[in-house]
Amino acid sequence: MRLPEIERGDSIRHRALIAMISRIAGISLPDAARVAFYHQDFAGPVLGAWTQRAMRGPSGWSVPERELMAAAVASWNACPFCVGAHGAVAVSGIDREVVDAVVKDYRTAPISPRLMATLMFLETMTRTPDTLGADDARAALEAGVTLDELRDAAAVAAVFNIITRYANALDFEIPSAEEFDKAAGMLLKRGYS
Amino acid sequence: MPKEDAGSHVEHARRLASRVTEAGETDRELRLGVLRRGAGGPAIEQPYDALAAGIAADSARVTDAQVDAVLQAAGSEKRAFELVLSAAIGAGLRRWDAAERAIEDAGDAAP
Repeated sequence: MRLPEIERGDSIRHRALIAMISRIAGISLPDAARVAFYHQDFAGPVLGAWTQRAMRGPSGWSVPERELMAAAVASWNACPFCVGAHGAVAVSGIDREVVDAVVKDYRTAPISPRLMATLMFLETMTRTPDTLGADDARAALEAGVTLDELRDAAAVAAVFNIITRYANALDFEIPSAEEFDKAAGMLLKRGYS
Repeated sequence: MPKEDAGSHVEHARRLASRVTEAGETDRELRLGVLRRGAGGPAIEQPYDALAAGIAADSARVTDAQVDAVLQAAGSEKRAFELVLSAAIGAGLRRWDAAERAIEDAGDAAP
């Protein structure tokens, strides 16, 4: 963590919360959660509300599918923290082998044409947003994705194009596989806001 | 699990952009410059430009020195945090806007 005040907490209340949650969860609270507690007068809570809407709100995509999309965005943005964190939640409903295959190269992964076409849209959105156009969206629609589903997937990619960037810039500490699994349980239970 | 705000993604994106514009301890013009730089906008003064452009282009290559230079120039960790988030939010909202346009255009053309 490049800004130590985030790791410590910026108030007595937040320092106590970080210590309490770490004790109950049996892991050091991941840096993503520490960021959520930090400087809450700024944009964090508003981003958290959108993330909660995108990841847990009404959608034609299941929670594990949305977590898989988040992990895919993280892989394109070279964010190991988010690949680990969201891959660990995705396996609550998708085989670990499939999650690993998507993160490695979704084009060769055993996934539905609908999810494949959506990931193609999200990859272009992430890597070369200026080239993204109606043809990219139409390709997903022709694979059976609805307009609302494509918009929901784009929202997942938008928030994770933010989160992965600050996770990398702040140099989030990478938990162990066991810690990721415990944190995934917290994310499933508590959500993002 | 907390109940999510069921507002539209468009509303959430607008609220996020407004929050960066309206809240914060950093100078508003600097924060907006960093937000725009994160979205691919024009260069700003150093050391802010190097960090904002790095977060936008390849955040995995951001260095300790880039963050430390912004921390020293901004004067506090909270201000440095605001600028890191602003650059990242600029990059994310740029992509959201591109996706929205593409989806709108495809929807308009649908039979």
